[in-house]
Amino acid sequence: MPRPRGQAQSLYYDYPHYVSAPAPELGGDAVRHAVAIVGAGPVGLCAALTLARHGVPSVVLDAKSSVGEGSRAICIARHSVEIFQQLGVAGRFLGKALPWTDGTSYYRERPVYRLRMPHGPDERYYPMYNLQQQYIEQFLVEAVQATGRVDLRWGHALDTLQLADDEAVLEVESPQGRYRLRASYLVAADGAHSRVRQQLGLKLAGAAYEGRYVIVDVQMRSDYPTERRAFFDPVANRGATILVHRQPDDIWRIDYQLRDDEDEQEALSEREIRARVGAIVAMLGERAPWQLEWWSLYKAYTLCLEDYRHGRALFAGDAAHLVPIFGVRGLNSGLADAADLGWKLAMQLQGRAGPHLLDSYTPERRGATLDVFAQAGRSTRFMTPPTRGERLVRDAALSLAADHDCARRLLDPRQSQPYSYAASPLTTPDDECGAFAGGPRPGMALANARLDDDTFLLDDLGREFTLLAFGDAVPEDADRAALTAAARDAGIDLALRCLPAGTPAAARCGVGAGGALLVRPDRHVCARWRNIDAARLREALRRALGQWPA
Amino acid sequence: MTPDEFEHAYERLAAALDAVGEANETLFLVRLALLLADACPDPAAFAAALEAAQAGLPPADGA
Repeated sequence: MPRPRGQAQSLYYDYPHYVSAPAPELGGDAVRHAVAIVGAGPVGLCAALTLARHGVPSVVLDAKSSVGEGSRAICIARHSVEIFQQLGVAGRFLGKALPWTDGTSYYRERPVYRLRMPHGPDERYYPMYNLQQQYIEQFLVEAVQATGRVDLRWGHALDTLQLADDEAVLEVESPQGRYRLRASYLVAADGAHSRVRQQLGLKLAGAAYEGRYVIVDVQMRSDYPTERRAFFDPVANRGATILVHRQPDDIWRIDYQLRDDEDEQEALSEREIRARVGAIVAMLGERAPWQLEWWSLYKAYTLCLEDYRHGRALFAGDAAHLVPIFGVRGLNSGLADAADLGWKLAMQLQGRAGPHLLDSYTPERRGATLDVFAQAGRSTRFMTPPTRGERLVRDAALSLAADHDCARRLLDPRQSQPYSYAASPLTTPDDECGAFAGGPRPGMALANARLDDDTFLLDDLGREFTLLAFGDAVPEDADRAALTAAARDAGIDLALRCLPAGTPAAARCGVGAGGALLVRPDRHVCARWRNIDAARLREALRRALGQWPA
Repeated sequence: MTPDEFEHAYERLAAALDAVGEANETLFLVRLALLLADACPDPAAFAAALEAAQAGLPPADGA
């Protein structure tokens, strides 16, 4: 069992200490591992869990001996909880996280915009949850340990790296000594200051924004509900902005923007932080005593690698891209990277992937990053206008927002949504399959529609590809056998689910009687048909596995 | 808008600028531009108006 860590003096969280064990390589074991993952943060752990779910073992290296310090990424979107469900950690997560749907934006002291994210009785999960990242990492570590397929090496730090045509060779420093580790593939999930990236001489490219935020956690009892509060030009930070979020354990996240003339070093002194937080707490109308828990400085960037794959190395999370926090896309995007990469790497290692499957990782996930840049870039410019002109227009919009829809829409924080892989080479476009009035277009994530009182669509998906057939799409046993045989031809153990037509779930899927959806292991729809047959299924699966000729 | 209506708009804009005062002048004009952009049925017409309004301005300070 992990022991409390003395050096992290948290007010509410006992940091586990994970024991560093000697690597088998130190005893002369020169095995080549299937996958080495550098970084035991949430992205690396999700990649390990996804691989384990598909039967692929991995080694995870992390220089630390505990979870990451500080609450950091606290807002987890519905689509990330669906990833957690597939990895078996949703229960732990939901038992601790705070769900929310709403938000309020204020201009000076006046509420001018009410955020209300879509949510209803037919949704299994709320659109957003708040939970400190260290809890998320702890739950993921526990799940990883339970798989028996992940060799988690704490206190083991990547030193140097060489990529060959058929493997990655890592020199690793550990408390027990230095050793060489070989792996068929390497996943770089080692964060913004990625050692893997440095070793390969790769640089992130893009833009940096002017705005600087001090991010502070305080412990304070308050009955204020869990919602996003954004304050523009408030009395406690004139000329700048403040964001406030509730977290479990009576922890409140307060992000306040520094004005252009403020000195960073002075702003990060405890005395100054106490003064600023005191003014903000007073502005919020809170009377209870509060204590400082943790703080950090944040600057917004839109930076990413040109290619997320470099031979045997694949980059995920902050190692591949840095995105602004506005719209909560950082960790949520990294988790989607891991979900995408995990199944592809598994298929590759199991000899079931075509020559193009791993290469689809960059267009899918870098495409998602560029979409995030477009969305979050707008949010960032609204939160911290970089020019006088943008500030004038932003302030004018804020002053109109209470009374005018057109201005109010500009305050929408554009919260994280799953990216559509419509343009992916793995996706079979609709024009090859027929016209549909609604439902998830090929490339989009499957909606987690309610099936009955207790069951939702994702509960019943297979580990690999799933064919959701509605009504009499697959009327005879012989038809079922033909479809599963076609999937086997493509190397896939297909889960075939026959669902009634005319139900709310069928309506959300946009498929009538006789129609079908093909769903990838990461819940994205990769093809749909008005009528399904074995030949079409085989072709779509081959495309989804990158099995077209090189 | 007829020439008479346009002339009326011209007079109302001048009166509104006088009413809001110099301190609020910029904010008022930007608010007005945003509301007109929303009311304008043709995005190209708004873009053309922006361009026309910029054309022929005297050089900015320091330019």
